[in-house]
Amino acid sequence: MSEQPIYNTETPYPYMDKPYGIDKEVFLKMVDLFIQINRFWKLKIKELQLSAGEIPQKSLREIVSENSMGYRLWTFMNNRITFDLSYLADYQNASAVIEELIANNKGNENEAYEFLFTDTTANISPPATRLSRARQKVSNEFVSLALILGGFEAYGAKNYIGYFGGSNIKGKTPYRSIPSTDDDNNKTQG
Amino acid sequence: MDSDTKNNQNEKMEVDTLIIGSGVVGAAIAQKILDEFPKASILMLEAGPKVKMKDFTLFHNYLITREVPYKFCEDLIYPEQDKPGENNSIGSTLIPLHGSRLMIYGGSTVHWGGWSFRMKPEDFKLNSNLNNGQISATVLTSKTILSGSNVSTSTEVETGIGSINVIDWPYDYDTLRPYYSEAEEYIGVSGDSDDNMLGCNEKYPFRTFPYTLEDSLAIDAMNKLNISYGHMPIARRGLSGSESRHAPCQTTGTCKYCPFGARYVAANYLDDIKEYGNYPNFEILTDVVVENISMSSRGQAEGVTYVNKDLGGSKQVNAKRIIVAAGAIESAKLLQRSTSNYWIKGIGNDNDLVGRHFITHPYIRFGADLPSNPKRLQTEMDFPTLVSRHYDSKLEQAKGKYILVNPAGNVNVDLAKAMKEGKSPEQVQKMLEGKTKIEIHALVEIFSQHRNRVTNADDKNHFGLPETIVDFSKGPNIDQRIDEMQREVNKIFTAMGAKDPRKPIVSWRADHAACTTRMSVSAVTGVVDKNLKVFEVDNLYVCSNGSFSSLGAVNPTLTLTAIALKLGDHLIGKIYAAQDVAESHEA
Ligand SMILES: Cc1cc2nc3c(=O)[nH]c(=O)nc-3n(C[C@H](O)[C@H](O)[C@H](O)COP(=O)(O)OP(=O)(O)OC[C@H]3O[C@@H](n4cnc5c(N)ncnc54)[C@H](O)[C@@H]3O)c2cc1C
Ligand code: SF4
Repeated sequence: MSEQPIYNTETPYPYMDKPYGIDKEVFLKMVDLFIQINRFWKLKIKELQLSAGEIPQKSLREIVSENSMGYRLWTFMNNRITFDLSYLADYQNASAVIEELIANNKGNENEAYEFLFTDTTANISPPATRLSRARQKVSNEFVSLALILGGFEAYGAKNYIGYFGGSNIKGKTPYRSIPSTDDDNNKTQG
Repeated sequence: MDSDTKNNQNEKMEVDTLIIGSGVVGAAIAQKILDEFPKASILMLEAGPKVKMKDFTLFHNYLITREVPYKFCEDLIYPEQDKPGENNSIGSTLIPLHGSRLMIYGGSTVHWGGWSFRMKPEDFKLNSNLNNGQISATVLTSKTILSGSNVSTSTEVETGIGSINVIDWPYDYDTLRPYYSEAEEYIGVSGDSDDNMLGCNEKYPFRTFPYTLEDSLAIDAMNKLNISYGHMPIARRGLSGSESRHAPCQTTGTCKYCPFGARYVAANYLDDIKEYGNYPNFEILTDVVVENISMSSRGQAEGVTYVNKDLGGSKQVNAKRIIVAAGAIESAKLLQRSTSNYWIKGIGNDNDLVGRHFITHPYIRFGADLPSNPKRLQTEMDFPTLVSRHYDSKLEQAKGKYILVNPAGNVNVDLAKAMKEGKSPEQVQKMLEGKTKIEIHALVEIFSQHRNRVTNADDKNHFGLPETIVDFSKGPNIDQRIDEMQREVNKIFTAMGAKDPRKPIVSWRADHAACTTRMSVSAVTGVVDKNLKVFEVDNLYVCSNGSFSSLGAVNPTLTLTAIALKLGDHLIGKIYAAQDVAESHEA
């Protein structure tokens, strides 16, 4: 009976077929960035075990499929690109900016990343320089992702907005709760 | 039984049941009828588009930007100097519409919070309780109207700059009680089954969420002050023994765009009906705006005219029964603009009540400073787990009952922001443990006033619906009431060790717009009867928060779902009765 496609679903992004063409070098640089975020803010993200020694021999597919954190990072990057194709360029730009910063810091990677994370001008919005795009479109987003993927635990909490905390199971409440109320020992309205 | 839905270019479309609006009301009624009559011919017309739910690309974007993909389905802001905007608020109290509802497949549940309270027994007797001498202002008039066997009373009370005009519900809490249970089951509420709002045989479908550590400050303070509190009943699915296509909540905390569909959203339930149900005669059209309802006589609605925004041109569809489920504002406006020789001022509007008595809840945010945060309290959940209904009591009814909520994220620390600003880990730790802001939120009951109303404007909004004129002026007692509330909340802040309470931020946004087509026992005081049928029209029903006789202090949607399911039962009875008549004619 319908005179139009009934489920005329609107999305604010066009559908694209994968793969999008993130190349291995760029992806590995993004893995480095993620590891550096973990180091700088002492986040202790579990499962961040990409070993630099093995990586050069492996294909991107192998790297992503063998490491869960790598897979999540890759999925996140793909989703950002799906939403807005300019992220493909942003990841390339961030990769190049990081290399330049390392060169400027005479090969001292930690210092290069610290500059990227803390330089105040790079955080002026909207981003107008290559450095500020690398900071705001990539590094800052990875900071959010790092917290979401468990980094928040370093700051004392058990759950975080965006983290898949888990279901509300008796005795296994997935967030910091008041112990007496965890056991269905519930106080009710008077 | 129900005839097949028919539609082609030259033929008038005809259905048995026509539902205008695809929010929780439309979805619940459709589901209820289809459960009983899988072949029922039902057409649902929705002005808004369909936006993708449970999509991980959109989820990731929401995580990073906090931008929801359905923002464009909100009303625009009111016109400003450089922005054309839409709608108009002409009363002395500005009622923002922007953000207060969605025009979308699934309606406003796409962005709702899921707080799912039952109203209290005294809420169903507002007028009687005020008449029992509970209100301090002078009673101007107390009209008693006799209509058939029903007696209806409405009270007008002098309040200084106008009068309030309140009525009782045409039934009591116990009438709605079984539908509350059914509604909790339908929208999947996690709640405390020991809550004394539930009868001894009633249980919430899912286990309550324990209080968060963030609640500890409020709990200690309320214990000290003997203020009662309890668990927030919340529409988040939990784990259950029975199979369900709807996932349990994973406490992800991105509830405005849930990646799993664990929070009730009518869009997901409608998808289910379409994808998994075997309902050959159930159809939904999106992007179609119903312009008016036509009548074949004064007592019989014939059908509606709608405009297809994509294809243009208007079309008529006739129906045996019409359910207006277009939200409190649009439902009233649709009746108003459906004028004919039978109803010169619009359907059901002979007494000029359609759109009147408009109220909403002001949402009040009280704030103060916590000198330190040694437990490093921070946001771990996106919905509140603690609510106090201490002041939502009969004792407070005449002054305006209210609830207090310990909101999720009441302790204001933003880890990600601090890190993005380049703060070192040590600085972030210090920030977490240091001075911080703290909040308590409140909703307070507002009483209807005849002068407050919504009407149609001449211009169309960006979805092709007529723009809205809101004419609302708050009653004089409300500021005084908020001052009283502030004094109570300040005691809680003091007991928490918080300092420097700020002036509250009060939002009058129309999230809980209500009472515009209110339910009553007589057309002199309301627009629809106890079955939500427009007075004097046999086959036209209005189901929205607009049909509430009064609003109480709590969020309305559980009660709304309960009255929708009750209407579903009524309609099922009607369909059976029609079958009997048809069969007896055949015999
Ligand atoms: C931010 C926010 C948070 C909220 N949180 C809560 C909460 O925690 N708890 C609670 O109880 N309530 C909450 N509410 C209120 C809740 O969202 C509403 O009570 C409920 O969704 C109303 O449902 P409805 O089906 O009546 O109307 P809606 O969901 O608004 O659906 C009406 C539909 O009808 C369509 N329509 C209108 N006119 C026409 C027309 N002429 N032709 C075709 N289609 C039309 C609209 O496009 C819309 O999609 C919240 C509201 C807001 C804004
Ligand atoms: S907390 Fe629950 S309802 Fe909210 S987004 Fe996560 S799973 Fe969905």
